[in-house]
Amino acid sequence: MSGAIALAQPILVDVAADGRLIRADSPILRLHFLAGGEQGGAFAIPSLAAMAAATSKFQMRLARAVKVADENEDIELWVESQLLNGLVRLTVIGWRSEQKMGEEFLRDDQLKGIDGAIELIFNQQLLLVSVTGDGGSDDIKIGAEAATILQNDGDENGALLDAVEQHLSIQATNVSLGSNAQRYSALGIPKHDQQQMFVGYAVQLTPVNNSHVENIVKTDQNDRLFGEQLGSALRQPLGRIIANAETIGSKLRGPIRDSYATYAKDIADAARHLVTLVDDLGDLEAIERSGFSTAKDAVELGDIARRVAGLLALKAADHNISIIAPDDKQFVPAAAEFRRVLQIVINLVSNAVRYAPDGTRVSMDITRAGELSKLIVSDQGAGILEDDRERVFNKFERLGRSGDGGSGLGLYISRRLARAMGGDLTASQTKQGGAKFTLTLPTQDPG
Amino acid sequence: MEPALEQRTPTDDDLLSAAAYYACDVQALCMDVSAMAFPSGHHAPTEEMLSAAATKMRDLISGIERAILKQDAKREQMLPLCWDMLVKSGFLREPALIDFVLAQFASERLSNIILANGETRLVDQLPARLLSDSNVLVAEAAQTILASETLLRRAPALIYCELATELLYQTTWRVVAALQILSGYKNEQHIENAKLFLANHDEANAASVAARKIVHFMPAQFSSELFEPRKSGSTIFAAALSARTGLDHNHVLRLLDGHSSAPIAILMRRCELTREDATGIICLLKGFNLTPQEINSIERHYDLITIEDAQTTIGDWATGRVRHLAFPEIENNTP
Repeated sequence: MSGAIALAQPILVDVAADGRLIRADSPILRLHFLAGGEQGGAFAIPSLAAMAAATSKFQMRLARAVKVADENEDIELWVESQLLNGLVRLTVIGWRSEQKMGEEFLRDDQLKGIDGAIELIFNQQLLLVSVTGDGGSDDIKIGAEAATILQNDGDENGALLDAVEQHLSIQATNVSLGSNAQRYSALGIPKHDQQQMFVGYAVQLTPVNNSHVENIVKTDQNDRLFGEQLGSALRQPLGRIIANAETIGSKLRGPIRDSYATYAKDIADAARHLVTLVDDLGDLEAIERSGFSTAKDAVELGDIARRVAGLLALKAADHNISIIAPDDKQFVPAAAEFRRVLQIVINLVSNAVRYAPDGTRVSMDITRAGELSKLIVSDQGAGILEDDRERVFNKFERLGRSGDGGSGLGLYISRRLARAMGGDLTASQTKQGGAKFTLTLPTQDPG
Repeated sequence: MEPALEQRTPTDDDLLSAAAYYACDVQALCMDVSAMAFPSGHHAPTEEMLSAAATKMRDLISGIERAILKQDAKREQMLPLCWDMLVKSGFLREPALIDFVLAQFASERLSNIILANGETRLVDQLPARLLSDSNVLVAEAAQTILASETLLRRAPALIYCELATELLYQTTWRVVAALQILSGYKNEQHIENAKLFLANHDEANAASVAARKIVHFMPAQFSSELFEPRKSGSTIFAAALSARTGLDHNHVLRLLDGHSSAPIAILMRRCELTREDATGIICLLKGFNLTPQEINSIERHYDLITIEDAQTTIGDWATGRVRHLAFPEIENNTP
């Protein structure tokens, strides 16, 4: 059992009383996203969320060792919590990685349901310690050397064996196992401990002629190439880039020159921009797929507006911008999909916060007009020229802007979503000249 | 008159006799059969244990009540004002509360046993040696453990500092409720005092939490000492076992202080200790209470237990405990 790293600079996390993650330093934010959490959404790391909830409920200070899951390892954190300005502040002061044992190295869900798939786990000495699935070869025995199992018989076996022996990652196809004639697609992953010492190697082998795999690839290529395949494949490395750049930029791993810290922050910002783009492209792919439809939930626009105001309050505060939401006495129901409406309104208010001058106000108003419910987002910025008010909804339209973190897809997606829900999204101008976006949705009578 | 279960080799007739008597009560039957098959693994609370638990319970309620009434220590010898009401309400029979006081009792006993049987001194144990550790977090935690032991000896009513946050919260508001009923009106001052008392509580000041913190941050050069109770001391030893097995700290203390050595052997196996080390620890903790059968059993079977089996068994204990604490049975032998 090795000791935890006492963090020179504690990792801070703020959680609202209702369980939403308000802010978190990058190492925890990365785990939050990895656990399926969203920006401003419910805190997705169960053990930390439970601790925050207990702190909020009991209004007492807690100090606990908390285990959280990373991709290939468990992490034990030493966390202290207290109430601070109505939020729960979690302070992580200790961090210890615990390598999972044996076959737990691998995410076994990757191979679930794939007939003939094999997992091989080698230890530090490259001796086989675990095998899952039937390799159909006598050479695959616990304790056998990697070189015996992955004999260099041409094709890509040589490349795979080289990668294993040199502790490098590899993706190879047309690999065979011993005397087994079956050909496999191989994914090799070296495993390292916290000090980056090599501790073992995992190889995943999937039969290349497996029709199930072919079907998956075919279906994904047709339907969900970006949203669920490339998107998740890109989000993971981007998340790592952001986390590492943030760690370097915040000098958590030791002092560096200020200019280097700035470069690291630039890298993190660029990676964040790419993540936004990946998200947008995933949405774009979804809404342009034939048969895309939305649910017709009973939603209340005032409630959504207040949620958005809460979610973006900190971001707005960075620019000294106030977000004005309708009070809870106003009630404008609509028939639409909750998360899609939330997505649209977040996009509109984020844009307003991004482009309106510092120190101004972004207002959300709700109203009902006949069969339509409306949510209007207006700001005190320069507004949008009349000629651009339709153009702004075009795909990848940036109106000449660049470098502000936008992808040019947000408004396009928002309008498509609004229309898919039986409504619309339009742009106009306030009396004072600011930008005004009106989201209309079919109304929903209470009861 | 129920059949006597003597400490001798049971015959089939004995078992059948017990079975016939308890046919209507399966749980009691199981307990009697286990008592015959594993005599040292089954025991009722001793008078010493009951007396200590009652005293600690009174100290606990007394300490919380004093904090709410803002009284000084002069009332320490007196029974708390709300005592009778809490006894009658059944709150003091809450399994979690009883478990806590018994764990405190176990902790004290283990500490004394290790010092006596291990022929060691407090100053030689980890908490004292870590006071000068270069990691200030470890040094502070070591200080907390030593301070806690001293504090509890000098002011037993401060036992509430060791109570789990959830339980302290629950107990405090029960005490407030009892005081409100006794005074016959809603005393806002009591409520404010209780809020302040809870807000000032810091879980990090509990010895068990400090010990767990030390285990978390334990420098590599000391990590082997964690599982040597002579060197680590009872609190850190229990915290190390708790960290490795996932069992609650109090649960570990109760298991270490139980009559049977079998649970200790399972815990040691899970922690991958060698048979020699495990036997040494069991002898240290059990001393002359070990039966030859138990020693023989450990010697012969320890290496046959796999780590996975040990972990599965420990997981079953944890599940059983959670179920028991969540759905308590009324205990008849509680203070």
